[in-house]
Amino acid sequence: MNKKLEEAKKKYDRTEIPEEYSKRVEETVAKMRREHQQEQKKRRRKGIYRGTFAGIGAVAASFVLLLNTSVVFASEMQSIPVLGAIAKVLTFRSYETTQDDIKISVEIPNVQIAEEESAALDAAPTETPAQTETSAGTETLAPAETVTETSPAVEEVDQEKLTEEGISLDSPSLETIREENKTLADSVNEDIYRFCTQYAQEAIQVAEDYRTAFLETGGTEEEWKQHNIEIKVWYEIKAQTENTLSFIVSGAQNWSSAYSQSRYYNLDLQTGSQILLKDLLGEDYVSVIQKSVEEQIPAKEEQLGMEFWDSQEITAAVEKAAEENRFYMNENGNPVVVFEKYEIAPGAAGSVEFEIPKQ
Amino acid sequence: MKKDLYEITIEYILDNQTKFYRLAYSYAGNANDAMDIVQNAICKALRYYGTLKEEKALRTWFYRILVNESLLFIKKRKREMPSEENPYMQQPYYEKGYDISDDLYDQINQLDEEVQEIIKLRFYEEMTLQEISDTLQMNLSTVKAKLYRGLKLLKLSMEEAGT
Repeated sequence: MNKKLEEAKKKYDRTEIPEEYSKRVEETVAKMRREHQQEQKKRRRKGIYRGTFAGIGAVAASFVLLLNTSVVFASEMQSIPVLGAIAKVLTFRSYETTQDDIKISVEIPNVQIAEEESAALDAAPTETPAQTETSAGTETLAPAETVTETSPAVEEVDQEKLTEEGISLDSPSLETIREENKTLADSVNEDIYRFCTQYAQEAIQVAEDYRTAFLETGGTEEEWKQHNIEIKVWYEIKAQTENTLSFIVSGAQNWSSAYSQSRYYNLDLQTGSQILLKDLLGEDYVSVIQKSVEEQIPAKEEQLGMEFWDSQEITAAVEKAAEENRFYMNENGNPVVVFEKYEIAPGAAGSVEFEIPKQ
Repeated sequence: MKKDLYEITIEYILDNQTKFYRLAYSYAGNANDAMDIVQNAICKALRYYGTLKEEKALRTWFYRILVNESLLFIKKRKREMPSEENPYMQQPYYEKGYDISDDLYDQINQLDEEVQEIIKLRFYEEMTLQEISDTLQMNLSTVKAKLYRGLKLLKLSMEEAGT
């Protein structure tokens, strides 16, 4: 290369990059990503995904098929020994399957709130229907009533499947469940069930779209296989006290964080209602969180070794998290507000949590 | 772990941000405007990422947006300069004998816009002629002709330039 040209290139390569540049780029990306996610959500709500109406029916069908043909369709009710007397979170249904080299694993939780007398019977598990684990093939299932609001097709197939597998559908007696709390458990369970099945269906749709596009643009089945696409729906119990229960139900895909979704459940087992940030922090909870988050940021920044977004972005993120009641309760009974990846900090920070002390 | 195009695009942007800045700066001549140009380009790219058909085209696609954003900025600046012909903003061709700066970097920045782009993409970003043709959506032979013209104006021969 000519010497003068080389020098020009050197000068070009030495262009000084302003200190704030990289942060600005990351903030721009974060802002756009948020916009993108909202757009995705809006589309999902409208039932339009990438403009394909036809696809939805097809996927609903394939989801039913999936439930129907899955070998590992584990219809057993596993007892998760995390919870004490009053409430239990059980895996209502879990299955793993592979369709077009897309691996799907789903764990749907189900909350059971029992009244105290029956809770005492927990020592003898066989007495408490929800915890019953009898010989193979006769596992107890959660009440079928919990799935009433789901698509009838899915529900029907479920039952059919259950019968096929020789599993009796032995609903636990609702008498052991306190009346007012039964309503809570039911509505929460319906909500969870809907979230899980909807997420799985949509995730399969998205992955199938991706597959079609991949194959149409010259990708081979073999290459597709190597993508190892995985869809996961699972839950995590965050904390439980005598009176409260916090858990998170999440859906994620390993190839795109843009489609991850989480639901936060905080239940008051005494009153039978969902706990909101407002209940814990008072009417002006947004500004309480705002203030606390701002105070805690410098320490977090130091701990993580990175700078968070500017205050404008953070204010917007706090408002969003507060509005969505995106929190769980820890052992101290304090709400822990969760910010998603990229929401308030560079992606390397992952999701960031702030415990907000009750006043 | 395989990601979708949107995520890949984001990753690409984050990984190559300094390159974008340099190119934007070569048009803008100052930091604030250069940052604005890149920011606008990122917004457009992520908003309209649907226009990106395949991962393979990512680089040329993004540079197209970035170059367009830079040109848009220059046009806007010209418009905002209130004078009929904008004598100082209208970058003149450098004809033989014209008293030109000895600094080739500055000289390149004063070339005709299209020629400027081609030279920058070719030598600074080290794109192939085919990639430049894809980026600027310009016929390959036009790219060659303009590159040749640019080099001639800069008093460089094709051989010297290693093309």
